[in-house]
Amino acid sequence: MARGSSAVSAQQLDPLTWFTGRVVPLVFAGLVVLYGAFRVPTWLTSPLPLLQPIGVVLCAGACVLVYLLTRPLRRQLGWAGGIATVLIAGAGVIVSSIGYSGVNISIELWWAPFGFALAIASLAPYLSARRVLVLGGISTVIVTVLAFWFVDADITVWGPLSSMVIIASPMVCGLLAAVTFSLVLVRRMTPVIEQRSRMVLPLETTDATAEQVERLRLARLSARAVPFLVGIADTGRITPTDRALAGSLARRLRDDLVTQSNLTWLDSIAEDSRLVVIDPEHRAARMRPPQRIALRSLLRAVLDTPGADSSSLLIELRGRPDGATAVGISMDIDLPEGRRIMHLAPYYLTLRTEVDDMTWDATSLSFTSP
Amino acid sequence: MPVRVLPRDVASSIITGTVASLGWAIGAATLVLGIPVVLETTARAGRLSAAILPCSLLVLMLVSLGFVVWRARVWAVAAYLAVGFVASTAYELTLLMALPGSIDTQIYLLNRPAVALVLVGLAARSPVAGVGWSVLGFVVSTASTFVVSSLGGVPIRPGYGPFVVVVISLTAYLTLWGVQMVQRRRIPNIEELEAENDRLTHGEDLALRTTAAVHDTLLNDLSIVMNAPDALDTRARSRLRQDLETLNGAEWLDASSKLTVVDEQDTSLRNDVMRLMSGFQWRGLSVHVTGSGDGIYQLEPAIATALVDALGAALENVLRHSGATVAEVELVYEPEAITIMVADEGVGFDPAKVAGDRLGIRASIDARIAAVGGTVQIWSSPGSGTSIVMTVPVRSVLREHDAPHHRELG
Repeated sequence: MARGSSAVSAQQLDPLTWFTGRVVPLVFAGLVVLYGAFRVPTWLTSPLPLLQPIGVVLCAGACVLVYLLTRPLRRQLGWAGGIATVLIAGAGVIVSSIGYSGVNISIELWWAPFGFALAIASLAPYLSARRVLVLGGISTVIVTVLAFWFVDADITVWGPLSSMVIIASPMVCGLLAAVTFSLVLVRRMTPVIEQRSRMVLPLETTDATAEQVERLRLARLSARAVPFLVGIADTGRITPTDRALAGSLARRLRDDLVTQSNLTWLDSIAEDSRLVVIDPEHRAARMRPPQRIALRSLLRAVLDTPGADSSSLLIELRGRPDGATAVGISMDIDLPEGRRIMHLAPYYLTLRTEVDDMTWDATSLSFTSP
Repeated sequence: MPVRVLPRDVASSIITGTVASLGWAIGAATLVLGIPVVLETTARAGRLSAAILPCSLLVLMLVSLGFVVWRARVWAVAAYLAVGFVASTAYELTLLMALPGSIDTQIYLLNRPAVALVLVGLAARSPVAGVGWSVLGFVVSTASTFVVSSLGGVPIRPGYGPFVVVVISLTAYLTLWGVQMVQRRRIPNIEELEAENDRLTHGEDLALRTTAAVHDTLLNDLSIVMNAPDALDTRARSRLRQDLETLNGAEWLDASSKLTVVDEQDTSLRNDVMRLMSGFQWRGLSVHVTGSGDGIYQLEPAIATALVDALGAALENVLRHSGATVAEVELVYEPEAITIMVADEGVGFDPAKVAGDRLGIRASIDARIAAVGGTVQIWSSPGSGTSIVMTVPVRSVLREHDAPHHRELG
């Protein structure tokens, strides 16, 4: 991989894990709510008790926002999503610190820095280590200083340095956890993926079934011509009838061979399903094995989807001026969006690792095969 | 080439291992951030000198942690827990002696090593192991608190820190376990898909070979019957029989599974080419060969077979479609590849206008050479002849020919 480990997110490298693992930000949101609720008695000591639940909602909401922004069909989480997350979570901490201003609280048990830390941690799978470090680092410093400014005057147990360290500790740990997670995961996963993509898969050279099928096809192709030619070779004589028969056999044989040559791997799917293939330029034959595997598995998944009208599945391949192949798939699946996504997204994400410019909506999917 | 997606078990193993690294990092940060708190708190109490031992113990735990990260073995983690237990106990007792009131108001200060001990639970390679290590770390840290209480004569107050950390650790591992369970149900098995693709590719390859073989034998023979005189001579009948034997044997259907040991003195390729040209010359096509020499180049058996068959198909095209009576065959040898150019000065054709149902070049030349990793280029235009250039990779060069780039087929 040309880019360093710090510039790639875990989701970019391994989208399938973070499709099933997208519940992680919701779990973090739950933890924020749980810990915030655990500190409810301290809320009542505040002159503005409503600010604490508002802060909890903001911090938990930041985690929920990450969940929403990383749904399978959305684009990769970028700077904007990351900034929005830290702004909302940071606002939660500030709101909470304003609420606790003038109150002598145990800052070591303060829920807000903990909530901010979990919001930062929820970004870890979706942003590169570099982005998490920049966003989390800057926001941690700003939030720590502001929170300290609001609550420090009322803290008597700890000195100012300790207060600042105690406020910052959960956030620093959350930031460190997120950066370490992203960096280490990408560093460990990249060589495995690259090694795998360079690996030459052993070709099935002893597939007796395939050979048997082909021998049967050969027998069918040559069933009439071979006995005819054996007779010619034996007698050494050719009559006008033989010439006419040879012409007829040749035409039929040629038609069979042309039909076979024009078949692509997509047609093999169409043979035992109702998939309609439009590929006048035989573009399917140009697709690389990983693209074939990913596309074949997606088409199979669509055909196996309960509620899918298999007769509506159509795939069309067209050449583009730059030599790439534009692929369009149309389908009619009578399923609620959530179930449709849950069923097909893993295949969609697998295919997305192998092709460019992929888009998907309820009835169509398109991409470019470079 | 496989899909750029990791099999699920591999991905799960890497992710769980990464969470382990994350635990070590947080543990180290907890210990480091504890040092300024110890220093400032003892300084405020006028007991700065009492901070030396607790800070040293934090550093000792940091060093132990670094050792575990370096060794990453179960015994190293167990040793860290043992050292941590002793260090944590000594740390708390030392601080309690210096700051007796801290047990009531500054538990955060006292339980920093205990929190780091619970984080050792993140040193796991599977979610189940992670849960086990987390619970063990929590038990050790709690045991340390009991010992401190017993030796220091203070109430048992572990604080919320270790508890919160163990809850987070357990939540993390249970979430990870849940994610992996969902993956097993929902994520396609990439390895199965790849195996299926291999089988289909193998079938397509066999179909391609059959098409080419039938085209070059049956179809050509039927064409000969259509155009031959009433009486076939011995050579033509022999060719028919040879083709029929080739079809009956169908050896191409299992050719790829053969492992052929190539003799250095093997000249079968050269002999095959010579026989091929002799056959065409007998059928009325003069074949002029240039580029021969004394070099010896080895090709993979499948490549050699494809090359001879494609050369035959190219010469067949010259004989049947070009109207020319002479074909030039030039052999060009390079260390990595052999190139054979077949040229004629016949009627030529427009490659862009070749009908989709024409099999000759597509099945017999293009597909054959492409299937063995070679390339084919065709130059032709109506009235100006045709040139077909086929290039295939060389396995090894046993002896280079004297004349660069023009060497003998060996």
